Amino acid sequence: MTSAGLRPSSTRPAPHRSDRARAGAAGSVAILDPMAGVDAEVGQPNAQARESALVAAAKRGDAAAFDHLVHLHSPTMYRTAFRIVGSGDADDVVQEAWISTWHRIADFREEARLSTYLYRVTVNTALMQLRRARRMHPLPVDETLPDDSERQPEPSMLRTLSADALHEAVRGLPVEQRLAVVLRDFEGLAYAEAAAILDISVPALKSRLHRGRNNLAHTMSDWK
Amino acid sequence: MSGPPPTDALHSAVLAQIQHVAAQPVPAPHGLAARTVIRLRHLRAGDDGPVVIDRTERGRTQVSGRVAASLAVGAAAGLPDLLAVTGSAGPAQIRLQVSLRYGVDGPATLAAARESIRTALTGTLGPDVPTVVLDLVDVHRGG
Repeated sequence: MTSAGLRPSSTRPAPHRSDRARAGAAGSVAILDPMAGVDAEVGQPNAQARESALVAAAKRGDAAAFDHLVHLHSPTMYRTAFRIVGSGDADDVVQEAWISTWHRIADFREEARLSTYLYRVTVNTALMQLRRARRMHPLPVDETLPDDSERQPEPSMLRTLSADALHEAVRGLPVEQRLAVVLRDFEGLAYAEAAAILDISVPALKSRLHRGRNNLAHTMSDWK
Repeated sequence: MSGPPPTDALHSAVLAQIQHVAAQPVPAPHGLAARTVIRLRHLRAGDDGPVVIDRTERGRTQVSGRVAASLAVGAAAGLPDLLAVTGSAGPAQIRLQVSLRYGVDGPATLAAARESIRTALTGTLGPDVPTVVLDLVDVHRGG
């Protein structure tokens, strides 16, 4: 038993409050809000209903509603892209992801949450970006690094990494492991949601997490 | 046996570091959402999207195709042998429809014009200027 025992799959970690707060603040930018007034009448913000209304309006071609969603979700998408591709390309990934979403929003079926859908688009766009970079650099880091996923240093050997160093270590992981770690361990998504975003089974996700965490542990133990 | 299995203990230590970092905000670049909205507006207006990247902010602010095309048209308008110019831009290409003054050497004039336009764009937008294609659509006798 490995990673599954560390955190129950049914328990979602606490959201990153600072990011949620910033997302909410960004949403208040002067953009026409078709739901203005509704929340005031209710007295309490109903984020889910509000978002559903925005999505419905965007699906009808309401650009202002779509732009509101852009302000609302871009921080989360940027954070995810940043951890996959780095700061150099993350904003491009976010923009391309939104353009893709604009083209396809009419086909979005609300069986899944919009955030899940946007995670998927962001991940796919980030993967395309990585492939473009790979074409420019025929010997990608992913394939030249030895896979240390089966080596296990002692927990006491781990060094504490700075945020920059940890992000760098994550971006040094093979892509499949990187995506699993970002969605599950950084974003705190449930196993089922992360697996759905990556279009893999939960056991496959757990396997990637296991190897990814082992590789990170190795990096942490060797960090200079 | 005491303590957690070695793998669980190891992964717990890794996760503790991840969660510590994950709790820290990752600020998006200033104006990212606003820039995205502007780009979407260009897109909805029929513009095909960015064709040029300049180096002003972190290095990668994208310029819309419409902006790039208008810059190219402006550069072409200053060339004496091109009498009429319209333009459009796609994701990787600026395309201009040009009319030439009668009597000039067409291929040589177009080649020189293409270089002049690229040079002008480079001065404004930096080195990543997309392909400039000139379509000769007319020849004017007067002018």
